[in-house]
Amino acid sequence: MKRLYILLLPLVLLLSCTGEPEEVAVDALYQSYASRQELKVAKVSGLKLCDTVRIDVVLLQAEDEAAWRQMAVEFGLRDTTGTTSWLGDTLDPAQRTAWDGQPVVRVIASHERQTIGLYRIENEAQYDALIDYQLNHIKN
Amino acid sequence: MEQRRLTDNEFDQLWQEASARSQGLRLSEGYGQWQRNRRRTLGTLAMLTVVAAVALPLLGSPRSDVYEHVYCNRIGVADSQWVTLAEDLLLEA
Repeated sequence: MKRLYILLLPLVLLLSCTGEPEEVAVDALYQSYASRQELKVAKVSGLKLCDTVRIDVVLLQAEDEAAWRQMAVEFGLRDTTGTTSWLGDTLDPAQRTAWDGQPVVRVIASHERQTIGLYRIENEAQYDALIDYQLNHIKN
Repeated sequence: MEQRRLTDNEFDQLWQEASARSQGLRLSEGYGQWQRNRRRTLGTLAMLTVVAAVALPLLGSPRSDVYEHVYCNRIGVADSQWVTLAEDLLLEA
């Protein structure tokens, strides 16, 4: 029995370090855009917001003006300058939604950078930390 | 049959003989070797478990203080550029 336990422990440890659901969800978001030639798509995993909270981000950057105009239509951007932000659905970030405790995506669209950032929020701690990060860094 | 108590010396001698016989038996039947092998195997497994317990969480830990990893559908863009972009966008919102 003792030997069985010793044999199984490394396996259990190995399995416990893999396969997080959040990771899979953000990967799906990344994959849904990654094949598009007109977009540079990147996924930043575990971006640190504070000592205890990290967040996964997918960035979509248009290669040229035409690609950006297409993105603007897809994401329903009305303004043509500045930065726009909203909470989006995890499967369809262009669709605006409200916070109800379920996972959402904070979408930030910058016309100047021709970039859209998708910040996946899984829980209240991440939601708070994201806002705190913005406030604290603006102060600094 | 008359019974008599063993003297201390006799008892010690009998004990040593029995002990030597049992050691001989262990050796002749391979028990000692089997025990050593078992100890070695268990020791190795315990050591591997300790190493795994320390190393695996480290493998999954952040590669950088600011982010864990970056991947992109383009070659040649530095990870740090995407991380900076993600941070800057947040501050512009």
